[in-house]
Amino acid sequence: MMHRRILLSLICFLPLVVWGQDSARQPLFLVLEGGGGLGVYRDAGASPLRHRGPQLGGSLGVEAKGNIWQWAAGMRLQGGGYGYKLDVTQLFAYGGQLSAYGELLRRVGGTSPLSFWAGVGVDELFDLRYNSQLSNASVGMSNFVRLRLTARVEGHRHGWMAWAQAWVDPVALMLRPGFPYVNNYDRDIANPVACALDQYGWYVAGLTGVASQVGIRRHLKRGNALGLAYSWQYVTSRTAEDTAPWRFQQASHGLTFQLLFCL
Amino acid sequence: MNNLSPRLIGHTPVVFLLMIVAQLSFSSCERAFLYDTTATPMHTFDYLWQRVDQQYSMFDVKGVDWQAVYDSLRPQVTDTMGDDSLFALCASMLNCLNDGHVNLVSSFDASRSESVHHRFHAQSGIDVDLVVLDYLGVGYHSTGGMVHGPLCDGKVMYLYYGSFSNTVSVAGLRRIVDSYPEAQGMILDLRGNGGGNLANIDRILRVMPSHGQVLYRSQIKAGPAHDAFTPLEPTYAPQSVDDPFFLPVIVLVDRGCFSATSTFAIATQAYDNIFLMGDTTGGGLGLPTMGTLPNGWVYRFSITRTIALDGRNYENGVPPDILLPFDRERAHSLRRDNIIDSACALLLGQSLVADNKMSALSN
Repeated sequence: MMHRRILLSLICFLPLVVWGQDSARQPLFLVLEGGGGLGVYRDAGASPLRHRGPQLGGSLGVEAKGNIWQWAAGMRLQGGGYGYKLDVTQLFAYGGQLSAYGELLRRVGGTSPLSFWAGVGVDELFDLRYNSQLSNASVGMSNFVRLRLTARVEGHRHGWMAWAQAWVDPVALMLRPGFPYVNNYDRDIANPVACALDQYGWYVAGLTGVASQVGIRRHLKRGNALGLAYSWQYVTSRTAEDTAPWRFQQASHGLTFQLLFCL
Repeated sequence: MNNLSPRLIGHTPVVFLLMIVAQLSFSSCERAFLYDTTATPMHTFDYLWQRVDQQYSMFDVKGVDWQAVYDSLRPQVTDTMGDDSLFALCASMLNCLNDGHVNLVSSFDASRSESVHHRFHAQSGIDVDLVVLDYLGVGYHSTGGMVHGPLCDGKVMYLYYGSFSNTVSVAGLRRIVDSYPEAQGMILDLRGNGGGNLANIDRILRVMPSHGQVLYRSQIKAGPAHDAFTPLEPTYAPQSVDDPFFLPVIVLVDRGCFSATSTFAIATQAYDNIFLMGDTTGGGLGLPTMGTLPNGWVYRFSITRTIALDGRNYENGVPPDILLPFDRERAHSLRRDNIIDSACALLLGQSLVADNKMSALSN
C-alpha cells in the first residue's frame, strides 16, 4: 500500500520532470545526498517516552533550476537507533522514515546575487517505530501525505551558492491508529497482522509539520556541484491529549553532503 | 519582481548570517514541542490502569471489576512514595487479573501472576527425571527440536517437547515419524511446556492430516470498551506434508501448559486423530502486548482472545479429552508415570474412534 502511494507520488511528478527536460533552458541535476544527525521522537503507539538517538540518511532525486522556476523530486530514507535514559537503565527502540517528495518554486523577488522563491510541494512520509521488550514488540506506524508550502532565499557569489529554505505543512492526510493497542506479534507475524491493519485509519490534520534548511554549494566543472546542508524538521500528529495512544511527534537534525551531477 | 532593494543585496552575507541564526534558534524549539513525559507515581499508576482498562482483552473471563480495583488501590498512591512501594502496588493491581501473560518489569524487579505461577509449580503433572531415566533412557534421541524414543518395544513413539521456543523442524519431525515404522501411535508430551513461538504449532501440525479445516478463531481489542473486539478471524490448518501421520496421537498436557501450548491444545480439536490427556492446561490463549510506562517500566498483558471451535474461550485452561491427574505417589514409589502408561495402553489396546473423540475415550 505504501509503495503504491510512493510510486503514485513519483508518477505525479513525472510530468514536471518531462516539462523540465523539454524546457531545455533549465539545467537538470541528479542529486545524491548522504549524512547523519540526531533524531528525537515520541510515538505513543510504541512508547510514551521521548526517545533520542543518532540516525543516518540518504536521498536520491532530481532538481531543475531556472531563472523563474525551479523544481525538485526524489526519495529520502533515514533511520537509526534511539534510546531513553533512566537513572539505572536505558531503553532502546528503532525507527526510520521513508519519504517521496516533489516541489515547485517560483522566483518572487530579486535576481542574482540574491533571490527569493516561494512554492508548493507534496510529500509522502512513512514512519515506523519498533520497540521490543519481554519477547514482544510494540510497533508505531504513521503515514503522512502532506501539502507543503515553502519559501527559499538564494545567494550567488564567485561560484558559490548559499541558500536557506523553510517549509510549513498546512494540511496533511494522516494514517494513524484509531485504537492502538500497540501491535504485538509474539514473535510470529502470521496471525494478527490483518487485524492490526484494521486498527489504522486515515485522518486529516492541519499544521502537521515545519522544517528548515540552510546550505552552501560549490559549482564545479561541467555544471556539477558539491554541497553541504544542515536541516531540521518537526512532524506531529497534532493530537492534543498528552497520553493519547495515537500521538506522534518526531524531530531531527541532520548534516548532509550533496553531490549534484548535471544531466 | 526584480526590484529588490540594492541595499538588501549589498548585505547578502548579513542576510545569510541572520538566516543561519534563525535556523538554529528555530530548531531548538523541539524541546518545547517534544516535552518529556510526566512520570510521577500517580501518573504512572493511572497510565498503567488506563492501558489495561482500554486494551486488556480478558475481562469477561477473568471476572474482575477493574474500576473497583482502581478505587481500592488508587488512594494508596502518593507522589512521594518510593519506587519499591509503587512497584508493589502496581504489581498487586495486575495480580488481580490472575493472568500468566501479565507482567510488570523494572530494573530492580519483575512481577508475575502469583496464582498462575503457584498453579504451575504446585500442580505440575510431570517428573522429567522419571521420564528420562525410566522411559526414554539417557540415550534418547534429539531431532528437530524434539526429544524422542521408542516405548513398548517400538509400538509407541514418544516425543517430548519442552518449550515452544525451541524451533521445530518439519523435516526433522518427518524423520522422527519414519524412524518408528512399527509404531501404532504417537505420544506427544507437552507437560510443563510454558509456550513460545506460535509458528511451531504450524510446524508440528504439518505432519498431521489437513483438509483446510479451521483450527480456532481469534479477535483483537478494537476500542476502549471491554467488549470492543474486531470480527473473529479464523486460523486454518497448515498444508500437510505429502505423507501425513494418520495414526492416533495422544498429547499429554498439564497445568504447566501455557500460552502457545494451550493454543496447540485447542487446535487439536480440529484433528480427528489427536487426543488430549492429562490435566487442564494453564490457559493463556491471548497474545500479549508490551508497552512502556512513563517511568520506564515495562508492562505486558493480552490484547487478543482466542475462541475454540466449540465457541468457548478457554483462557483459564483447556480441558483434556481424557482427564487423568498425575499420580505423584506412584511416580515416587514405583517409578512409573501413570499418564504415559495410560496413553500407551490406549494406543495399544483401544481403538480411538475418530469422529467422536469424547465418547470413544470416555468408554
